[in-house]
Amino acid sequence: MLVGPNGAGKSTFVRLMNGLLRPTAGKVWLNSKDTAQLSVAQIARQVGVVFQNPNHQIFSSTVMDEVSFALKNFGYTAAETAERAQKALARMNLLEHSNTSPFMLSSGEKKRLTIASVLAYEPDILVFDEPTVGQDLGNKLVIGQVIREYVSAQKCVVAVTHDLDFATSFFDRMLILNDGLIVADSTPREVLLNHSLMSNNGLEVTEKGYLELLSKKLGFSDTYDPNRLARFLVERFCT
Amino acid sequence: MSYLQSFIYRKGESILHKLDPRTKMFFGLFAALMLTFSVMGLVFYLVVIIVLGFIAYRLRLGSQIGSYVKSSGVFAVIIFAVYLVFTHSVVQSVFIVERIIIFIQLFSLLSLTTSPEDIATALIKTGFPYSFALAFTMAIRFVPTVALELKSIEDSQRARGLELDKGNLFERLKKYVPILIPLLANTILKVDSVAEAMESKCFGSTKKPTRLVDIRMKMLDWSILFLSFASLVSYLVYFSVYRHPLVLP
Repeated sequence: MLVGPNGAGKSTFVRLMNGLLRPTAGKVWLNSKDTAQLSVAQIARQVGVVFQNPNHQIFSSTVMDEVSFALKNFGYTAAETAERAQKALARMNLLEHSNTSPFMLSSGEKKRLTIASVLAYEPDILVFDEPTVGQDLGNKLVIGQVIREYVSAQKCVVAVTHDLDFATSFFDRMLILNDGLIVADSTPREVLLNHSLMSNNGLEVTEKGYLELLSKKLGFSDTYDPNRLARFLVERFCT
Repeated sequence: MSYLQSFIYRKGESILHKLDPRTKMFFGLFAALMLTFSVMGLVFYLVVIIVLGFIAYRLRLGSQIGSYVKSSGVFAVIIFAVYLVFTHSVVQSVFIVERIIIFIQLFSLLSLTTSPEDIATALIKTGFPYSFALAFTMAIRFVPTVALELKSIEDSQRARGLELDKGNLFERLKKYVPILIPLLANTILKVDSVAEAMESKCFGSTKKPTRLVDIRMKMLDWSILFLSFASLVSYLVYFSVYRHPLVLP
């Protein structure tokens, strides 16, 4: 998971990953291959990006056609395309909308559609650019579930986000970028507990971060247990 | 679409920035009228190029100049080819291209050094209806937004394996459908939300809204206007009396 203030280079990092930007210095390696030698389409086959704004990619007349777009570009047969598209739509609870115009979907459904269109070709690396912007709790949980399943299938998921609560719930590694440099690389919990690091890099400490810090100061175990903390606070101050 | 950036207003302190927008508009109009008839257009052309180059340098627009020159070149070649086909005259085609490019550059002198709000005020004060002036300036303001949107959509589709530079001409054109449909849909949505925002702020409740910032003609503005108008009148008189051979085909 990548976090950092605006202008830190998070989106540039994503665009370097999928070849939309080429490095002016240094090299980007993807499965032992220099991305400079690969076309964007070749990279896209391995690095699937779910962009922040679903309206920037929707153009087809039906939801099924929209999900099939990338599959057709990558040369899947008609049978394979239909099978994969249906599977991805079912995974994102959109199968019943297969023949609907994607423009008629709600913003949450559109987001799920864009995720389905990437999941359909199962890239080795799944990249989310601000996955939770404009999403309600239900959709956030669906996206989180997709991330967990992808990781459990031994694949890599990268997310650029400002939603630290979401990030700490679904990711096990957090990188803070600032001014193009990696200033922290640790577990989300360690980073969230380092308040000076957070504030120096323009990140807001979440409620969860404060509670974890309190939990640590009180000498509870390393694993954050909100129930135990709540019980302690009630016993200490309300009885 | 980066060349469009060379038409978009940049803040600055040059003398052209300080002129009243009406002066620039009428100077452009008078100059354009003169250039329509005169081989002197070549001289004016050089002057406009030098002035634009100077402003571009002051505004640090170096990166956009290259793409602007390139796109102007492509545009000029297309116009030249079309005119050559219809007129069969190289000289006439060259002059037509020259005129069109001068007109574009005269407009860029105005748009590069005048904020859209000032252009709107100038149009209103010149007698154009308020809604027309607003529509005109909003169209200018939307250009960079649409350009950014286009880039973003193109990236989204390329990230899904769309290869725009492969295939014959017809195939390439067909590949722009996944880019143009979202662009059109998003632009319509944006326009709709802007219209709603304007209506919610009482747009149209009065025919003549007041303005926060006004524009005023100064001595320099009147001098430039007088000189350019006098030049136009003298030239037209000269042109109609003597039918000078310098008159363009």
